Order: sequence, then structure tokens, then C-alpha cells
Amino acid sequence: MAEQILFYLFAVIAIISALSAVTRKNPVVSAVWLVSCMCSLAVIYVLLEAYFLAAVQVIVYAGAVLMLFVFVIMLLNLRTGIIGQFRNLGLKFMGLVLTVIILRQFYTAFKGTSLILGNAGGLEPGFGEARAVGELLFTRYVYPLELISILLLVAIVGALVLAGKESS
Amino acid sequence: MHNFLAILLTLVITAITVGGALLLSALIGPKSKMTREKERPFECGNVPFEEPGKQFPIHFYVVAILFIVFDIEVIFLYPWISSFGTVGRYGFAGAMFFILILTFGLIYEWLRGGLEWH
Repeated sequence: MAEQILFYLFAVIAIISALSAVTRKNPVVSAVWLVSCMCSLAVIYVLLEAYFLAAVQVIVYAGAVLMLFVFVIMLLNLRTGIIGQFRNLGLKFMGLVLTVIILRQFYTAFKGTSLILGNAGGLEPGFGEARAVGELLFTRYVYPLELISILLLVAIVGALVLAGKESS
Repeated sequence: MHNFLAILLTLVITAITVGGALLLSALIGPKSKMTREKERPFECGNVPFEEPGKQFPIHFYVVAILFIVFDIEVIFLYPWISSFGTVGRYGFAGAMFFILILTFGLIYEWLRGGLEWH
């Protein structure tokens, strides 16, 4: 019961924050709303017993990625109101179409599954903690892990190329 | 789940304290008009000499994005350390290969001058 109250509370906070993030005129204010959205999502991860994911959500998304967003805002010199110029009817219509498609996908993905809140049932103790994640990640899913390192390598190369650093 | 009760309690107490302070000062505090002096950013110290939101040098962004890449690397090593005893040599080799590939990234970054400021 308490879990359900917490879920609905933080789900509402997440949705309000996300809506505020896309409707604010000042991009920096949007970024701060996004922090609130990410932290609410972390609470929902905790309710789903994904503790490691919740910690990563706060450390990486609310901490590092949002900092990067603010950097991009300053890098592109986005001033208050500049986003409004990109909000025309055609883009709104496209957004609506994409939203309908994504909701349809969600419906297909979750239809008939047993993903019900508070119905975790049968999880062994320690589920979702860093230890359990590591035991899977470094045995069964070690190949995807190496692919992630390649992805991060591409990010390093891409950042340096985009910044136009000359090779010395 | 119950370990998180402390965090929840902190959150609730913070919300009550901050919200209560704001609400009380709005309700019973004296209403004051905004003056030119009050809109200045600092009551002491230097007056800022330019508008915030000025365009940034790209160096900061490169440092930030490289920080995030290695931040994510450390995040992936954290589950490895937690399960070090159980994943054994196989996990050790996997983690070493993971670090090796990102070390190539670090070497590339170094040679290309990503760590230099100018």
C-alpha cells in the first residue's frame, strides 16, 4: 500500500517535471526540471527493487548528463525564448504522431505481462544490488559489456573530432 | 527497500522544512517592494561585468564529455568490485579487457591533445 502511494506520488512528480521541462522558455530552467524528473525516476527504480540502477540514475543522469546538457546550452548560447522559435504547428503534429506510436509500442510490450506494482514476488534476497548486477554482467553478459567499451571509445573519438582538436 | 526509509524521511523533512519556511515567510513576513538595489546580484563583492549565458569555449565541453565517458567506465567497474569473489577469473578477464579498450581511448585522447588546454 505504502509502495503504491509512493509510486503514484513520484510518477506524478516525474510527469509534471517532464512536462515542465518541455514547456519552459528558458533552457536552463528546463534542465533543472529534468533533474527533478530523473530523481523521481530513481525513486521508481527503488520501488522496482532495482537499487543499483537507481543509484546510477542519480549519479550519471541527474549528475553528469544534466551537467553536460547545461554545457551544451551554454555552448550553443541558447537564450531565453530561442526555443519558442522552433515550436510551430508542424513540429507539434509530428510530436503527437510520435507519441501515439510510442504509446502503441508500450501497450504491445506490456500487454499481458505480469508487471504489476508490488507484485515482485519470488525475487531472491540481494536482487538488484550492485553485487547481483556484477554477477550477471561479468559472466553471462560479458560480451555486451565489451561492446559498451567500444561504444565509449567511439564517444571519446567523436568528442575529440567534433571539438576539432588537431593531432599533435 | 527498508534501507531507503531513511532517505525518504530525509526527503520528507527537507520538503517540510523548506516548504514551511517559504510558506511562513510568504504568509506572515512583511511585504517589501522590489527596488533597484535589491535586484543587484550581490550585496557584497564585485558587480558582474557580463551577462551570464555568454557563449562558452568548447574546451569545457570536451573535458565534460571525456569526464562522462570515464565516469561511466567507473560505474561499470563498481558491480565488478562488489561481485569480485564470485565472478572469478572469467570476470577478471572481462573487466581487464573492458579497461584495456578504454585505455586505448585514453592514449588516443592524450596523443591527440585532448588533455591540453590550448
